[in-house]
Amino acid sequence: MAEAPITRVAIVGNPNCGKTCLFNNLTGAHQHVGNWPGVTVERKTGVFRHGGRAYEVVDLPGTYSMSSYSLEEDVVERHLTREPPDLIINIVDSSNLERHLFLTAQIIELGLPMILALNMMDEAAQHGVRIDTRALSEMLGVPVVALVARRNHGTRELLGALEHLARAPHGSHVRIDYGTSVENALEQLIVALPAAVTPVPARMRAVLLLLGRPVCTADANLLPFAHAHRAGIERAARDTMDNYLAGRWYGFANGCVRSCVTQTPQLRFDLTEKLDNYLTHPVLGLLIFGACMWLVFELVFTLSAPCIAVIELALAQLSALAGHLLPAGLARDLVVNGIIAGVGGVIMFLPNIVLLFLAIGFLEDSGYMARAAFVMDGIMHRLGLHGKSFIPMLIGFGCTVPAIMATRMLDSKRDRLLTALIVPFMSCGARLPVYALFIGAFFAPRWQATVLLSIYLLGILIAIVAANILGRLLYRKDFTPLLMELPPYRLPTGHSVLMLMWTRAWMYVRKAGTLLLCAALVMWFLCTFPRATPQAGGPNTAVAHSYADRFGRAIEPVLRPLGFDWKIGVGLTTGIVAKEAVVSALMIVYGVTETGERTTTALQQRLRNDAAFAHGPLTAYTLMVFVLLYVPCIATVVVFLREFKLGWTVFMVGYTTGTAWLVAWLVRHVGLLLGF
Amino acid sequence: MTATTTPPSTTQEDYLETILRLSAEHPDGAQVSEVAAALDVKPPSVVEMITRLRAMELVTHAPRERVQLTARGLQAAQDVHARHTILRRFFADILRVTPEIAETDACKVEHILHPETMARLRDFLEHAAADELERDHTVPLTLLHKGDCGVLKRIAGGHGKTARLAAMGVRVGSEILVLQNSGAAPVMLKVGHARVAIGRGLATALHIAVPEAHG
Repeated sequence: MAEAPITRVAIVGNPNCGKTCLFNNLTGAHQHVGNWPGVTVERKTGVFRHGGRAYEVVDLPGTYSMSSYSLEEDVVERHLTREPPDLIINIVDSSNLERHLFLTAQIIELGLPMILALNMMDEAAQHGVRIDTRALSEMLGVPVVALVARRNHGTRELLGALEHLARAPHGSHVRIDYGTSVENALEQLIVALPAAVTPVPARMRAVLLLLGRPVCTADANLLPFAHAHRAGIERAARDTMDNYLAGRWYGFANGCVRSCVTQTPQLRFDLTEKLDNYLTHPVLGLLIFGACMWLVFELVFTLSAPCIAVIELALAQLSALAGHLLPAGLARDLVVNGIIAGVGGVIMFLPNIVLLFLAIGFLEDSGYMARAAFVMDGIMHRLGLHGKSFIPMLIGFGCTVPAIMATRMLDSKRDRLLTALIVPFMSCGARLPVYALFIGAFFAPRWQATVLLSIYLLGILIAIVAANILGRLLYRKDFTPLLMELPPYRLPTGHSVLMLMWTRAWMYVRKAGTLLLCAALVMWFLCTFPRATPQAGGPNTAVAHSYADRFGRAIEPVLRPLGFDWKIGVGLTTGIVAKEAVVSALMIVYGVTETGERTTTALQQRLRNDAAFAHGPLTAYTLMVFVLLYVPCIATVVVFLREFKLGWTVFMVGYTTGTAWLVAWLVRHVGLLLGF
Repeated sequence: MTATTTPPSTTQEDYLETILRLSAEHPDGAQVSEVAAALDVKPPSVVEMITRLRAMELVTHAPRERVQLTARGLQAAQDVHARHTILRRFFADILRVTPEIAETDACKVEHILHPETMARLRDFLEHAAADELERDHTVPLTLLHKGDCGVLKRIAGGHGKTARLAAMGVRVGSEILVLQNSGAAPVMLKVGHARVAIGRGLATALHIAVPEAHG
């Protein structure tokens, strides 16, 4: 028997209705389930087999409607009309069926074989909602399956329906009645449509034409014709086409609910409501939010300390071992000072980053992230930002790269650009190694947490000022009001949080493995060549005539007012490749690993003894401020360039570095005046 | 009404209405040339008609002077104007045709309807106006307090956000419960089983009808 072709399945639904959860249940691929709107901006696919058939599943971004208000909605419409899947699973929240069927009404006329998955049947039952699945199936003309995706209930029934439909594919017969004037317009448009250029049914193409969103270029030729119809209908209806059709789709959804759903009033304890009384309280909410952030950072740094010590020890052992195995010379120098020191300096801070991602994942999955955006909106609004802008900023504390990608969840271009421009000031996890190094070297243990917190707060402050200034410069009118769903609080499932942590940490390690290893090797090369004739003296001699030395000295005049010498100059230059590389660069510049001691401690010792750090704590603090603010790493620049234009990217690099210099200068001179 | 004489013809009513309208701009009445321009006819025809209207004692007119409505003429003209207004409102506000169509159709229909029909139409519109007032008995969402509930009656100021709100379940006719509304934070609503946060600027545009108990 011939192998059946792969059936392509698309999962469509509103945000937070369990799409990703269902996706995981079907494919077994453990992916992240988000709890705030817009977490699945990227397209995820997975493959599974059932009943001798292969299925390829794509998890489409959560969307409230098929329209082009946001990138997510655009992605969904494009996927469903330009490269239609063989089959759609439309997943809906049974406890809020009418609103979810609004989307169903819009996709049902695509004519694709479709299954309606009624998710969260348990929650619906708690709400007193009872759904007659058979009647609903008849009304919609598609199979209906009840699910509890979180508990993996109903997956077998869904697979059965999937198999059945894949064997004998057929779409729904349901046609939505749009009223006489629209129906007349549709009829005329359908006649005029070019034949067989797209698999989308003519009626659907005509509807989308009326909305000004042709499915292909051939249809686009009919836009003026459609527009004339549209203008007439809008004038008569005294409403926009969008609103008019929305009314019709809701009418359909409402009709389904009326005839298939019975609601019995329930007196019950609503945990989300109770929690929201405190967590979104105007004063208490902000305090709780602040406390949450503090707790996150305290947790991240306390728990990571023992792990870091272990990694440090292991690296020192490895260096010593390499020192024994390899003969003294260029090769040993490369392995010990280049590779082990470079990568080691990065891996050492993995525990911090893993814990930070764990905390962020917990905040997202519990539903708290949306509340954070809610309580911050009042403040953010005054800064000319959007409450949702806060989420990319928060992610920015983990890594700037996903944070810039997360700005996509903002609807207007202005908000996106403005948020992306200030996100680099949020101190990312990669900057932490630098702080840890200098704070460890120059500050007493009881002050360390405070100093660190002050750096983070300074970043936020600078971001606020920058947002205010840039917001005034950017076109002000294009401001979209906040409109966001607050998902119910749910206890995050362990594996989803761990999976999120794992994927993000893995991304960091991959970056460390490739980009950062390259940076370390380049640095080693620059610090070693041209080779100086071996002389008696300290380990610094190896670097004394190198390219790094020359470059460091070349930019020294610029950095001198900040109290930095050429060695810091070299470190900062390397930091452009990746901020954490500052540490490994300094290790190489200070020639630390040759001695085989515990590396960070050794570097800290060297720094303390360096004459450049005469005003130790102040210079260290100035340096941390500079590292916080100057050019984000190369990966960020690349992502920024991909999201925005070259002009804005150049601007971003320039203004961050300018700000860094200015603020660092201020910190140093105010510090000197105060007698530090 | 003109009980003793024959009622004015369709054309005559048009003339009276036009003179009334032009008189509103000039207290001494309308000029023949103005009337001719407004009705798009030649001045000699206007003079001819004015002579006839004067014979019916609806207007006064001396050569090279302005045409003025008599008391009876004024009453007849106001009567036509009232019918015109009622019909225009009916077409525009109830049947929802464009203002232009409403205007032209009202011009045509105002002369031919039975007085009984007109009276019923007037009652109907008065009733509709009362509804309109009732509809305006709403408050912006931002003025509601935590725990208040009501029904969204309209979304003011443009259609830009209506479809977006609708997609999130916030539509005209939706029952809403205010969960949070304080300070500069967005308003948090419960709509159906979903919670939605709406920025204050947008929330002001949402007009909510609250039950009497709230005041």
